[in-house]
Amino acid sequence: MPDNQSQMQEQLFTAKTLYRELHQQQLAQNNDGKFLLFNDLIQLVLGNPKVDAQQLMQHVNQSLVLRRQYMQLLQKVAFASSPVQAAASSATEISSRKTTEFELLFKRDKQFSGQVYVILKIPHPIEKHHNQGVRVNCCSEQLISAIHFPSIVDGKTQLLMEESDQRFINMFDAEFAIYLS
Amino acid sequence: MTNIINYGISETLKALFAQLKDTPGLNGNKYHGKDVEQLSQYIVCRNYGSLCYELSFLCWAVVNNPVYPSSPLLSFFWLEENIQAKRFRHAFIQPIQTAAGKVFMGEDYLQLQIGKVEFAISPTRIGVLAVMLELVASIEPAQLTKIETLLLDANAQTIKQLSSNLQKLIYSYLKEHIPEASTQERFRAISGWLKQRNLSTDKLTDQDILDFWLSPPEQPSYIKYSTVLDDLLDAISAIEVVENTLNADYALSLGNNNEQGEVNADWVQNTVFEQTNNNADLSWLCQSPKFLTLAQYLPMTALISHGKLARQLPLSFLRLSIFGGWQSVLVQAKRKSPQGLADKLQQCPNRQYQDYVAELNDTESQCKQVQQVIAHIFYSLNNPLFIGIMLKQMPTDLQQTLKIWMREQIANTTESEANLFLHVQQWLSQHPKALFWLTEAANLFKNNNKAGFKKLPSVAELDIYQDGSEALDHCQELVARYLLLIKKLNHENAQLAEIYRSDLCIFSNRFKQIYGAPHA
Repeated sequence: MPDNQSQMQEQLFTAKTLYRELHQQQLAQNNDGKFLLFNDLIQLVLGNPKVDAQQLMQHVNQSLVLRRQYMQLLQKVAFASSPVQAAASSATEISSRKTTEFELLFKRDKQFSGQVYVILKIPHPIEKHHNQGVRVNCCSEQLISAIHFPSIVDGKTQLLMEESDQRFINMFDAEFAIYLS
Repeated sequence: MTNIINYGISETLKALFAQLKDTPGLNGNKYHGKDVEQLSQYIVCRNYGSLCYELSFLCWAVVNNPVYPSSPLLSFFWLEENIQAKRFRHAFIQPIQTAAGKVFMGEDYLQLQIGKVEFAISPTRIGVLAVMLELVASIEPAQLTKIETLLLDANAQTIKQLSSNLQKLIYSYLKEHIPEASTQERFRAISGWLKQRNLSTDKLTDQDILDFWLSPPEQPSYIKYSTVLDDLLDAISAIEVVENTLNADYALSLGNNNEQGEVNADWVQNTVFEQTNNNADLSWLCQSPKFLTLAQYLPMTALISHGKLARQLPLSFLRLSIFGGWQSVLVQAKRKSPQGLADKLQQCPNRQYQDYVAELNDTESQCKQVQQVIAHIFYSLNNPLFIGIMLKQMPTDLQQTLKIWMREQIANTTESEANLFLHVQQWLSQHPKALFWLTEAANLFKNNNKAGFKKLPSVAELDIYQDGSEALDHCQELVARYLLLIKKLNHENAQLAEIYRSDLCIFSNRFKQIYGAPHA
């Protein structure tokens, strides 16, 4: 069976060769063209500090498919959410968002103009909020942004931000839905 | 998207596997490098059929577990990360009984009974199964919901259906990312060349490899020395294995699936990875626990990959390390600018053969030290496995004394392991040199601040240290035997430098020929 014999040899050769090629790149530490795994997206949604959130978020915002996936995952893991404020007219900025699970509001700093205190109140937080803080995701059709708040103490937490920060603007834009994770 | 450089595997697939090793989880990397490595074996051998089947049963058990009211797969594999044996056992501690079937955690296996079909999953398989599901979800995230819908209250027939769906998904993905035609072409070119020269494994010499690289066949193009060496050795050992198998009576039943005229994928995987005990990627040794640094591991990779052939061809591996490495530098320079390349072509490699030998010596002594540290860990946790490591790692005269003493002990009594441990402890306390070795081990452990060695692991975590010890043992032996050969080659400490000078001339000329032409 000479045909079969060479076929068997070829298969062995192919397996060894492919295996080597598959593992070579890792040792070369070649960083261009990182693959985004399903797990990477989940860790981003969960706010795992070990992911490069800024870089991944940029990646997500460039792809409609990834944004959809991100949204679907958020809906599954979110602790609470506040939908897009449908009745909003031309002026889409709002001063606070309130649901039964949380309240998000801001105060302008009297001393430094352009700075705002964003206050997040969660009357019944989960353990993760005490230990790791809260992640606030703002989602519109075109853009997703996320911001990390420090741990909840006495039902609330706050963050000092620049008023011009896009992530601040999104939080109080009626066209953005909010998800807490 | 698919970017195929030179040969087989797409950059995307390489990046996917690299990321599987790197992706974060609740603690450190989510998947262990060893499991990713195992999955890659299934994939390159196209032997993922039974893995899909096993995964389908596992998914059934998860989907039909009432503790997950929604998104069971997401909860089990990603949010809770029940992907280590211990967590897996715990997650199934409550038996499941539904109209379609039942699941319970036995002593060694998770037992499933769905209709008349019984299936068992070992908790030690969860790691590789989880990586497989990650692969599926990363190729097509919608699969998770599909699997959940399909498997809820499903019968065994549906599980089979799912397994076949998963196989198709992987198959069509791999079709895009692994074009096999090119590896076949390479194999045919090399086997033709070998046949022409009537070369077989026992006849192949360092000079043959150099000759091939200096004047390769027309097609396919062989430029890199490293590819020449890898391909020649892979091809020649594949030819040998098959010939040996065919000489044996059971050959056809093993290697061939006569009815379909296809090669049995199980046989391929078993032959390439398990029987020969070489070719495995051990880079997980550089993960957590971090047995070795990458710099200590890298010098050995080629030796590990080619096993005993490396000892037959000592010069080829010196050339691979120094001139193969230098060629990569040239390729990089070529990408940047013609001037940079021209400059490099005038220079010599920054390392010589002695430097590679020094690196290997360093790696070997590092392997020894880490073994001693592992022995300390086992000893501190009263685990008798430390005796095995000690027997190999202690100074030779002590080894002998201990071996003789142990033989007597075993012959005289029928004692339990715990008693043996105590006896060995007593023996050690009577031998100052052995005590010194143990103290040294304790100090090495204290000074080792790498991941996994900062504090004593728990007894439940010892498996990976045992795996590490075995792998290090393998590495240490490979390197030691290779170094012995080099020592013979270099018996007056002058030969290596001489060979290097002559090789430098040969390689420089060929590099200039390849990269120096104005159009290059």
